[in-house]
Amino acid sequence: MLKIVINHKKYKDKTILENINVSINRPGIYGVIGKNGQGKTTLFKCILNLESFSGICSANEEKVVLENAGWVPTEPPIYGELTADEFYDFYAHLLNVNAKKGNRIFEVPNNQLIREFSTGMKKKTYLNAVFQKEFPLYILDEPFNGLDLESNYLLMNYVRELSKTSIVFISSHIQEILYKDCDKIFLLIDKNVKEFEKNEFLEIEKMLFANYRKDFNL
Amino acid sequence: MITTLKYLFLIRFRKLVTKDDNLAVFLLILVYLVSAILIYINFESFKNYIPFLFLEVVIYHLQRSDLELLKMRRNYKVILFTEYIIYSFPFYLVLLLKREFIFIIVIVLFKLLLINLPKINLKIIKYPFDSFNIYWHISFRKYKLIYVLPLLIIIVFMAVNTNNQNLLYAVFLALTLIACVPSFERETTEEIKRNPFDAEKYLRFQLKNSIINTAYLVFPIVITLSFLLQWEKMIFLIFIFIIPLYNLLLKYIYFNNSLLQQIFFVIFISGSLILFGVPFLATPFIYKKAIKTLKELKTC
Repeated sequence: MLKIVINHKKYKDKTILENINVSINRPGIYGVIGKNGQGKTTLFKCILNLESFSGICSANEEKVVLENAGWVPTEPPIYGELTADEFYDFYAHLLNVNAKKGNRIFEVPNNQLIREFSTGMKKKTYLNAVFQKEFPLYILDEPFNGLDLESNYLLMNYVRELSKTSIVFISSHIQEILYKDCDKIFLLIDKNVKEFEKNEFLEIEKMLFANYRKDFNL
Repeated sequence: MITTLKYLFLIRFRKLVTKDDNLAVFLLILVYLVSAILIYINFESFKNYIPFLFLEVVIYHLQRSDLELLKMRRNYKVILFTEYIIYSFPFYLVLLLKREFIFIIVIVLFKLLLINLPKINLKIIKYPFDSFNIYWHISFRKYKLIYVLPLLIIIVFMAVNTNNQNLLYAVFLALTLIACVPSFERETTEEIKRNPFDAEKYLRFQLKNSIINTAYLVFPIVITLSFLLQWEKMIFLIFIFIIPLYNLLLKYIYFNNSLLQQIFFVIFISGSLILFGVPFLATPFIYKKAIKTLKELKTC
């Protein structure tokens, strides 16, 4: 279904990712974790072909493009000069779908300018806009940042529904959320990706904190 | 595509005027059209400065953060190109009516190049600027202003070789505008409040910072002019220092409204040119008013 082959991704002379070969054959929730600067966002941008790299990322034998993926970056590019309703309409036109009326996952003031919103409300608006269309692939880069507890709960419930028919990538530093719902977790370490099945999740911490465990004799 | 364009223009207007203020939008469009008509009438005088009218599009494009969003449409480059064409349309019309076809082709090609420019991670240049006003560093990195400097030096050589005074003045004007860019940016009110200096001292340090940093900017041009023995032309360099200082004062007077600052900046410059510097008589008033606004910003 989804094939990610990244021979190498470099910024100038610095290699960020190399020798990555991942295949995902069924819908579900897939977690992506890694320390800051390990290349989580770069990996997502490579999957979406937003960055140039050596390799290929394809879904059903076709190159993945932004048109066919629900992409929510950590800091969503949202226009502060529009109201939430206007932004939904604008986004729907970009997606070439009719703007959804009525109930949305998150409630935000509809006729207030987005620049007056808090960080969390901006994120909720962007998520509402993205969820106007059903995609075969969703990539949510640290979607819980800035969201309150209730919104995290609502988002995870919605993601669970989506994951019945779509592949959903979620990156987060809150491991507990990922452990609970992910079918598989990808750990970015040393420019590479290590895959962990549900029964292996406890191994992740061992690998992530190996150095600390040694230092503190844990 | 039409709806997307409608929203892109709505966003541009909302950056300048409040929501649902249709009268202000109408007035802005009117001012824009009237300036195009004035340029058409005085075309010979403005001819050399017309490229500056298209400069705003370049700056706007370079600081866009919505390209990733627009890439969701396969035809996003067409959307951008159409937006830029509509935005500058009155000036294209002026050029068309004046039969400046080559000019139009060059600008259109330049816009196409700009839209198709791949994302380049340019080397991070360390600037020697005084960091009291950090927006010198920020503006130069954001708008990549330093890359204009070699071009200006080449133009100075061309101007001296062809004995073209106007070309040299255009270089001075470009330098002045570059030196003014940091004073169009705004620090947060928290930064002003947190600064331990009182309003007058804060303003004096800002003015001093502007002079020092403008000197860094002007230095290569001074060297070039000295090398070409153009001593008498150097007297005009004083304006490159003075105008950013006035823009700085205007920034603090109209701290909460950048549009008003831009309008008064244009009025001040054109007024000084037409009335032989008479607006400079208002300097003490402008200085006091800037301090007063700064005091309000520090205390409120």
